[in-house]
Amino acid sequence: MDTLIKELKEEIINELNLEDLTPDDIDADAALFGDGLGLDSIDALSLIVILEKKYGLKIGNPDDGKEIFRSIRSIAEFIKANKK
Amino acid sequence: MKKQNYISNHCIIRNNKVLLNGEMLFSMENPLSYNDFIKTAFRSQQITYPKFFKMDNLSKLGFLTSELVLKSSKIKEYKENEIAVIIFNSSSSLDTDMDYYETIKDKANYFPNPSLFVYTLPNIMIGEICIRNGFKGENMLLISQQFNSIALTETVNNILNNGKAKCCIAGWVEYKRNTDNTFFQNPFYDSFLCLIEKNENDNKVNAEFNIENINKIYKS
Amino acid sequence: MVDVYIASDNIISSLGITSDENFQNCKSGNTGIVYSSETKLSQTPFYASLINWNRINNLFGKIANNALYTKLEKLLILSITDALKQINIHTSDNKTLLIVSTTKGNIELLEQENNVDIDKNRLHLWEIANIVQKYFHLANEPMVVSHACVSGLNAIILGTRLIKSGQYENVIIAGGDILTEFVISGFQSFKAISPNPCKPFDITREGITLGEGCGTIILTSNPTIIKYKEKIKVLGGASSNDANHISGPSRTGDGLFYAIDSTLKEAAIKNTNEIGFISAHGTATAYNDEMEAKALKLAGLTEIPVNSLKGFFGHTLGAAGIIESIISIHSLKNNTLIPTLGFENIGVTENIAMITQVKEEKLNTCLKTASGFGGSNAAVFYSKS
Repeated sequence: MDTLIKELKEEIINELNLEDLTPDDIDADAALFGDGLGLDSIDALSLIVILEKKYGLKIGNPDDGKEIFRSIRSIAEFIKANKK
Repeated sequence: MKKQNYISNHCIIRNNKVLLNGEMLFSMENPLSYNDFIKTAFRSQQITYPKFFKMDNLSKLGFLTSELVLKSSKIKEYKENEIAVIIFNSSSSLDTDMDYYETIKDKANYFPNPSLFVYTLPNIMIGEICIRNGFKGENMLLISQQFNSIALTETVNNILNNGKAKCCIAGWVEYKRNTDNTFFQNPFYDSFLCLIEKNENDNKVNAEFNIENINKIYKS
Repeated sequence: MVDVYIASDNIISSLGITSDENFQNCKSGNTGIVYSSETKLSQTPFYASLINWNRINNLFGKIANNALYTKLEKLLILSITDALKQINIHTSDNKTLLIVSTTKGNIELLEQENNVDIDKNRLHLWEIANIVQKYFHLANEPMVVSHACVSGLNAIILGTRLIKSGQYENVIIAGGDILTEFVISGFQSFKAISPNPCKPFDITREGITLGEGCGTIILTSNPTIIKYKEKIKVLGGASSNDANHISGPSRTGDGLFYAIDSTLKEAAIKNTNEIGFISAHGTATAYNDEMEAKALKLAGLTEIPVNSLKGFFGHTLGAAGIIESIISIHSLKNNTLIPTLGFENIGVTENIAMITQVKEEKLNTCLKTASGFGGSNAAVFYSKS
């Protein structure tokens, strides 16, 4: 789980251009949207693409993503639960 | 009667140099890449704006030029809908268009990228400038093959003289990827923005906004 | 004070190759939106408003070599040709300007198979304008506006301002965009495309339907060149920015309000009762339509009949402001309100006055609005003179 979390942090930093952040700067349980990391609607769509491209998991509706994308940990849990 | 407008500030970014009102603010001898140059230039100006790093090459260029041309200006004295942004460009968003196309080109590895697609319009850089500064006035993105000081002065004077805006950030922001198969794939970039106001000002620049002065500054 | 008139116009879209043909189809409630399984355009089937390219190629083949021009260039040339037929001007004089409006130009040329006989320079939008300029032997270097979905209105605004200031007598404004995998896949990645034909302002709206098309409006300061009895003027126009987000519209509508307000002030509209109807942008996304309704409320325009034409043409991007302005101008000429195809029940928080049926009534003026990526907005006001 810890490896997956670290991997996700690196993935998100790279794909979403979070330039000045290192994996250590991101709290696995911190909110990704709103007050936490401050990601926006395009970032949400990019996260959907990352899930599909890197982990083979499809989310059709961005609204379903709200719970899954709450934090890095919730994404990791979703991947663990659904990855074939 | 034609009214005279005035250039208060101007900023040029080209050839790995950043010039504000003719003075060198930053330069880099041998940057590893355009990305290296523009990020280092941005950081050197102590601007806090993490969203900068999400922008595409063209928007980073337009944004940084705009940040500097507005430095030490009276922009905050204007209402949000009194400020116009008029930018000319040649290659549209072709650089990012090509990056986006890579994400759909291979049907076996087909992952259209939304964070690239959003930048496949040249006017997005105007959007970034407006968001940063809260500008809600006139804005227009025009395409021309080369920098055209006649079209620029006509368009801007029209807006200022007809009461559609009280000041204008205007100029030329161009980014062209090098698509020749040369070893050093340096892109061509050239950015020139002016802050133009209706009244004379006590800035060092305070030049009359006309074709001659625009050409002089652009070529300097 | 110089007045700016609409001298002539043309629309080429899924609904026809002349403005009249397009207007009659709108009046009859015919949509141009179809269901397509064209895999060259999309990995999955989709609704869109598609042009009959066989018909276009046949027409174009009579005046020039199809192999030497791109799809968009053919549309622009055919459209301008039809608009020019309706008036008497010497296009080669230096008092005539061409302004081209497009968002993605010849972007299909990125695909190798699409650019066999065509020079890669044609990826540049200024080159498209040069090709059109050469074809019509126009004297002046054309201008090109590429400003997302407000390109069309911005081009009309620019043309109007250049005539009012006396720099030109005639301005040919031609705008278009074609459907490509590039654009469709992009909007799909945004999850913005409706699985069904779009429903502007409706409570069940699920996103946009894309369309391809081209529109031409020729503006002039000289009303004697106009063959029609009923003369329509452009009284004003303005653009603005939401300054909120690069792809999501303002939540308050204040940006679009600024464009509307500036336009109505320029048109010297003292009382909103003077406005016959509003042709809104109405793309049928959750946020756009809500934003527009809020802007109309801020402007005090919630009682004015309003429509969106996206249910007929789809969202034609760089052509939208021009095509929809032309339909609105023909509404004025024919004193006929065109309804919002796809709309059934109001789904925005302001109770705006949706036009739901074709209605004949005396109309003198209308307001056209548009909004687009990059937080852009624009508005233009048309009036019988």
